[in-house]
Amino acid sequence: MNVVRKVITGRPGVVIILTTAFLTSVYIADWNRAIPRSSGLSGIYEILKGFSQPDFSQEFLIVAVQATWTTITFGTSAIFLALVIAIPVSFLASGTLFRSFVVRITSVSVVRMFLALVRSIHELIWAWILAILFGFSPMSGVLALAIPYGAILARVFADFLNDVPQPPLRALQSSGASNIQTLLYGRFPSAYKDMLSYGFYRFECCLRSAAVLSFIGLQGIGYQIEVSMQDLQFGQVWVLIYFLIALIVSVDWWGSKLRRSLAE
Amino acid sequence: MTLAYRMSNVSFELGDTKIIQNVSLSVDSGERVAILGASGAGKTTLLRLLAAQIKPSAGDVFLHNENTRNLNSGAELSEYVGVINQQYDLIQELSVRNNVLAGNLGRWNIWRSILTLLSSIDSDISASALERVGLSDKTHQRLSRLSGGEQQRVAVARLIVQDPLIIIADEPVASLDPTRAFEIMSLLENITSPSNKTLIAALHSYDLTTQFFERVIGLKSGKVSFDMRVDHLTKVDLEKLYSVHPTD
Repeated sequence: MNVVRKVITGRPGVVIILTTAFLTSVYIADWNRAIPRSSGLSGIYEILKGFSQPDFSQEFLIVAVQATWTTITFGTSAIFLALVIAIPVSFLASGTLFRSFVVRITSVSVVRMFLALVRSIHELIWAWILAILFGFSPMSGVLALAIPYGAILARVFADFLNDVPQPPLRALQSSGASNIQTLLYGRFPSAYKDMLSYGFYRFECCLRSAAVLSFIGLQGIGYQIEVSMQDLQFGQVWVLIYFLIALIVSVDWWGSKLRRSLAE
Repeated sequence: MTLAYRMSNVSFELGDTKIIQNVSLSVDSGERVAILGASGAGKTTLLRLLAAQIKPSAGDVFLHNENTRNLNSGAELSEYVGVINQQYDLIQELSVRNNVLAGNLGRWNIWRSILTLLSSIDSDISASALERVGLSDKTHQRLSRLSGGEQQRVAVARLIVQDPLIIIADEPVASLDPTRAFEIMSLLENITSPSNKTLIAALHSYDLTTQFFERVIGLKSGKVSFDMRVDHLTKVDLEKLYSVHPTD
């Protein structure tokens, strides 16, 4: 039994599972359907033509700026809400608040299982579920991002809090610190840079998702791309993609600048 | 004279390895004891048993007549024992001030701890402790900006704020040059001797042992090899203690 368990949970197990999954997918996939449509080539030609003739007209630029701004506010409120959820939940999922072994194990397993459940549902599916509940409103959109992102952040933050070096924490405890004081004076300060760094990476992902999810009652970049696509205005599509790229690159730049200033 | 420690036939095992074997000793309150021994002799484990951070596998450790099995880490224990280690003992991301004030955590409730973290309350406490260790000008710096010797002074300042009856020091000067090492040992003597606190430290240096301690315990393979007054310690005793082959 032990050998079986070792193979399943160890490295060979992972290699076997991934290889089997890949080979099965190669066998199952219907390669005949992967032949490009005859209209596909002319479609690519149209898209590339748009690339060389982006629509920088003033009225469309106003539309693009507005759409980008909507996506920014949408993504920012979602990540903010996700952080508000994630930080306290990560304290529970790390199990560091409780001294009693039984309470700690219960808190860790219940909270982590719940987080896994929330995480396993993609934001698009959350969007559908929430749209049924609240209609196609900005609130549905923000919640559809904040809920799964909050769960991902909480899980990763909990790992950061657990992985903090132990000797300084032991020293705090020998100064009389309770578990919650150790968290506030030791674990959180030691982990917050990693948390911030990962939070920024997730902010990028959130803005990308916000752009895509903007069909839920929001006139963001994704919505405008869809409109321009339907009108076959590929010059406009490219302008919107440039705005999206600029947005992600600036968040990345901002994040690394902030990290550097904290490291000094 | 009250006893700081009484250990009777204490052993500590980790799996099948006996790290501490049948150690019995007592330490008077206010005594300064150096513990010597090669790496792996069990010094750190012995000190962690004394600091009540771990409980013995067999036997009992009495700390001011309290069995350490009944003492849980936290506020109560911090009144008895303060610990200083080789390094990696402080929180690098916090300011010097907050690291020093952490010595008060055993007395503070959660709201007070948060208030101190977020405001400049109690700065007079940290300032006077830092003055005693000669770091008055570093109060608001982030700890990671300080050198190794300065960081160890901050750890001493935290002990000053904590003000325990016993100070357990696990190789407190191992990573410092001789001058810094002497300074830190002087500070530890300054905060223990006048107030009759007990100081128990693991060391490797003959000179520091004879300068700052009155009693020396040699530990070899988890057993007490010798236990004597420092004036009786000879370099031959040390050579025996650190030799690989059993000579006694």
